[in-house]
Amino acid sequence: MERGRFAEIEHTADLGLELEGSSPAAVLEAALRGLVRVLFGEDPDVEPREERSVELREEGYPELLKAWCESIYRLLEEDGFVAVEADVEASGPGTLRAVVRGARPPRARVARASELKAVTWHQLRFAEADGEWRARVIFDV
Amino acid sequence: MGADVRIEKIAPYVWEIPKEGPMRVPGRVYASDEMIDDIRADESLVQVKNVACLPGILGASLAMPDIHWGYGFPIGGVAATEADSGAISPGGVGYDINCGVRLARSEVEADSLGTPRLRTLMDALFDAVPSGVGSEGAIERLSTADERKLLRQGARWAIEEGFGSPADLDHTEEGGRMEGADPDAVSDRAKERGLTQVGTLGSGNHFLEVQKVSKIYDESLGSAFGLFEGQVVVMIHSGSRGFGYQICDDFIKRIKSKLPVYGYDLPDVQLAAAPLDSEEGEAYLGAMRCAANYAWCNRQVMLHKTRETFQKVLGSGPADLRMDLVYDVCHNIAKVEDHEIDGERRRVCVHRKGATRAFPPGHEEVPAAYRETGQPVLVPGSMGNYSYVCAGQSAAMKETFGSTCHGAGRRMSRTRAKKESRGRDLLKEMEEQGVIVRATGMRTVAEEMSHAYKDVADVVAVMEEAGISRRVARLVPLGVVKG
Repeated sequence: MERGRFAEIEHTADLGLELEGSSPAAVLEAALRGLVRVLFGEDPDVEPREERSVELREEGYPELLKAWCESIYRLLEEDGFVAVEADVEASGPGTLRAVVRGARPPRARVARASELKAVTWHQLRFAEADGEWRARVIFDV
Repeated sequence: MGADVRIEKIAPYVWEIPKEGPMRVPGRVYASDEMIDDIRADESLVQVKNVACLPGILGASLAMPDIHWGYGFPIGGVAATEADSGAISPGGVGYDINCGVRLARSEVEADSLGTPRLRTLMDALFDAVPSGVGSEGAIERLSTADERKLLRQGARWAIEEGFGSPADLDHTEEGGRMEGADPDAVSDRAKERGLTQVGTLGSGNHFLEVQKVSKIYDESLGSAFGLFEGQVVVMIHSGSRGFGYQICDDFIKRIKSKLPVYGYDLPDVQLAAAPLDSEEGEAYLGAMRCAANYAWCNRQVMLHKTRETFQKVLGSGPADLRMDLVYDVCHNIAKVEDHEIDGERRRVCVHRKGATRAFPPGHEEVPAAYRETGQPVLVPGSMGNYSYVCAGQSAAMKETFGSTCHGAGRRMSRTRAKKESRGRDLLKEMEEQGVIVRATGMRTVAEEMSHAYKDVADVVAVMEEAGISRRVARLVPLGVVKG
């Protein structure tokens, strides 16, 4: 799968991502890498030794992006699982199946990440334009 | 960046965005001439305009001088809606419901502490108050029955469990408990997240600071608040943790799907609002009050842990330390209050999103201890900088629905703050300034450096000049615990 691209948004209070890719799956995969980067502020230096499955069914693409980011963060907060890569299959607006790979580093390292209060609805976008998929998501930290 | 929003100065510290398009009321921003360019630089003024579109909004969409770009509402925003037929917006409260600040005094003089003992104290506080992502374990995991009690009783539950004294409740906004909390309105997921996080700091801009009173501006008010120059005090900034975040998210999702039913057309989904008298509006209020109670309980437990730590490290008993709670304020909340609007007393729902209640002397909802002085207002500054204790003044009731600022207000993005901190030894720099920092992660330390914020001295000065709240004391940090 072709990898998507992410860039951090200059938001005054919070953190966010601009995402691009040739397909919804590529954008979602980039969202995972972008989110982990946002949370740790750097490459988390984690080997993809373990796998987790994620399945989502939402109203549409923007809702799917929000739920996807929430799932990645939930793995971190509840299980200490730092996801670093994923095989994503987005079979339609709002539907996703993914295998997420990462590891569970010592809890002290996990605690060093930024806490995510929420994946917000503010300026949430995920749509195709001119053959390219683009998305935007802002996190309350 | 920054949006082209028409704004006019209408008084020395007040700027107005004229009502236009779908705005139901004008926008009104409190700021000095020097601040307004920074405020124009991001999208916060657009957000002031958007909030002015809320159904049932009264007076004006207000912003305090610490305004900055948030999500939906600006941070530093205040909006009052009609209590009978107006709207309530979960985004107007924020994800961290009842994020707030509490300040405890002591009889300890800063000069008597000494750096080695302060270092030991900060290490011990860092161990006693868990911080960082998913932090938990300050107290035993709650049973579901205990959690329900906590959600209804707030800080009172903590006192009954031995985490503090009843006098603490007399010095907490609302007595540390909001009436009308409805645990049945809270999702199972939120309840699950709440079971382990009582007594934890979290991350981001939350902190626990050991501070010194560096200046008393008003001896009479300072004395009434139990403060004196050179005194060690402790400030705790945190909220309702994952429990509150989940409630906000659950209700925005639920309410967003009902907007066509209510006939609401809003410029930002994040402003999703429900009529206060709708099923969803009432359920949100019940759940939000649970989160408010959770946050008061959370800060109460952290204060208890702090007192224990002081006693252990300094080898003093409670009677010697006298770590009494000065006050506890919330700055992310919606409250049903009575206000006079155009000469008529009306019941309104005041959303304070990064704004603090500032009721003046004589107000019946100010606790008895402060009825004559006005409500203490706690305004934390940026990390390593100073914070303020202020008191509510009468103009707050006439102009801002009894509200004032809540902090310094960011002026630089987290991304830029991090870039500008690259290559610097921030902990060493702080220590050279006499501030000992204990942090779970350096990421938040970099993002929260003082250059990323406005000068809180300017913020509180604007509110004093406008007659909204006045300075009582300035506090400087000695040690900081960060998530």
